[in-house]
Amino acid sequence: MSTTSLFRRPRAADAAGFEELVAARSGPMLSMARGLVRSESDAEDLVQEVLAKALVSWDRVSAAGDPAAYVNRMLVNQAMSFWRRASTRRERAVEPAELPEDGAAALDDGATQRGDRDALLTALRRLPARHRAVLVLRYYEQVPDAEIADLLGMAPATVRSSAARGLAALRRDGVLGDEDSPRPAR
Amino acid sequence: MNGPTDLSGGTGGRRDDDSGHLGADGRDVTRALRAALGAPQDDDEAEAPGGSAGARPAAGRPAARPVPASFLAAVERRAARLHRRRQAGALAGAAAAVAVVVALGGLVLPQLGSMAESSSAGSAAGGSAESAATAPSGPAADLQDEGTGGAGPQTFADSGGESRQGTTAAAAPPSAALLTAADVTAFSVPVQDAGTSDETGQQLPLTACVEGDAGVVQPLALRRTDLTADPASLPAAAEPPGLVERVATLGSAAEGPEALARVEAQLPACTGPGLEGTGPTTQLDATPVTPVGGEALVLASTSGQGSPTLQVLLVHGSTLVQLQVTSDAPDAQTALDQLVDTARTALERATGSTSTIPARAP
Repeated sequence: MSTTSLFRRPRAADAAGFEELVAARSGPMLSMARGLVRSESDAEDLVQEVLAKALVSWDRVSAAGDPAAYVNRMLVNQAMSFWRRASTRRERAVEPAELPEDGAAALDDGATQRGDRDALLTALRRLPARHRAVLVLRYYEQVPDAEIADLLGMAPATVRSSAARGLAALRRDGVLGDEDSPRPAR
Repeated sequence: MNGPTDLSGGTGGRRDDDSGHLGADGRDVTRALRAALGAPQDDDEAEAPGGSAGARPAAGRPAARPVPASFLAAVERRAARLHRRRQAGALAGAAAAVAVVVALGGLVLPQLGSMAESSSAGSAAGGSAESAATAPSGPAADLQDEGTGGAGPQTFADSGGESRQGTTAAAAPPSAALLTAADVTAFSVPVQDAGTSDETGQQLPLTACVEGDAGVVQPLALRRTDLTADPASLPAAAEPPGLVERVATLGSAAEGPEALARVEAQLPACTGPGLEGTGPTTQLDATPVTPVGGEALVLASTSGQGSPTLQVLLVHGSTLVQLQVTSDAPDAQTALDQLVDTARTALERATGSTSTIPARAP
């Protein structure tokens, strides 16, 4: 932390590009966070905490080659820290409705589809934290196994076995189709 | 290169160097997960080659949407809080540096003064070194008095280590009362400092297990440090061990035992697997970490990966120390046995007392 930044209160308006990053990535980050933690409020908390840290260290974040990738790494690291804690502090200043929504999430596409999605999300949240993280990173963010292994501090083979176990658990719960006859999200 | 056979009977799922191609089944999983997590259903994006975390191709990223001002304001408020903590840490660091300089000056200058006196007395009159050592005077002694704020070098020389320890403790920043990486010997790998923060003003949540709630305490001061294993030093597939320490200064000595009693009372509700994949929570015999004149509570569980986890609550006077530990020991009891010395150090640091948890018999 530089001497100047030590005495300067962090403001989004002063951080060139921060608001654009929030506008572009807060929705996807929230989606990813939903898969990493076990409740909607924890997901919101996680996203807020990561964005706040990014704002405080914006000089470093914005100097990264891909700031979006940088904050996503922060999100995963923060989630790992989150799992370690029994509970976290929470700022409840923003209601879920105020968060930027992704297009598909905002569509009212019927109770059946919502039911399927809720069931999958519920089953996902029942998985052990690391299995859940592997599935989210591998299938939602399409992160290569080697990078997942690096992010989560596990071997690539463990990433693969965690993914397999996670998928098997979701299939046992009936929220994913079998490999031979995958069940699409209706 | 195919990976080892995975639990589904496949041969490792994907190739490491081809991880972006998930196959038809993988794409279905991707679509289902994106729907469940509330992400855009964009086939082009869903089938995009894998990238780094968050580094999906720009064309596949959802278009930016206006961010509510209230959301940005909430992020700014939280950032301001983080910033204040960093400011406090930086200022405390500067104060500590000044204190160290002053203390070193108090230690070094008397020796210089003594040497000067001894040399002078020896060469001029063949006088005894004893008189020089016990009666510093002249410019060096003036500097000593100035530098140590009037405490003078005789304080250190006369009262020995105890006085020196007290002076250093008084000048030390709050973070000095927390554990450091060097204090943690409970794991098979070294740990590193992952951050210390002053959480004064916040509540300390109490819980016996992940989904439990035993209320909170509102301490007068609350500090926290995170100590984590360096992933580079871990064997493949190992879960990184780590430790979170919180030190709470309570408003009264009665609050600590009450807090422990509340957590203990919640324990019977923690008999099943937790939402995070954790194992049932059990209470271990806390005798090895129970401080003299204080209380301790040790709860054990397992992480989602099966590693032993411990929550150790130590109460001594109006100080409450909470240690949350993920261990790489084979079982919880071994993890506790390995943690005793660290727990003792934590409590001694937090209370400033050196007679808290009795040392084990050799």
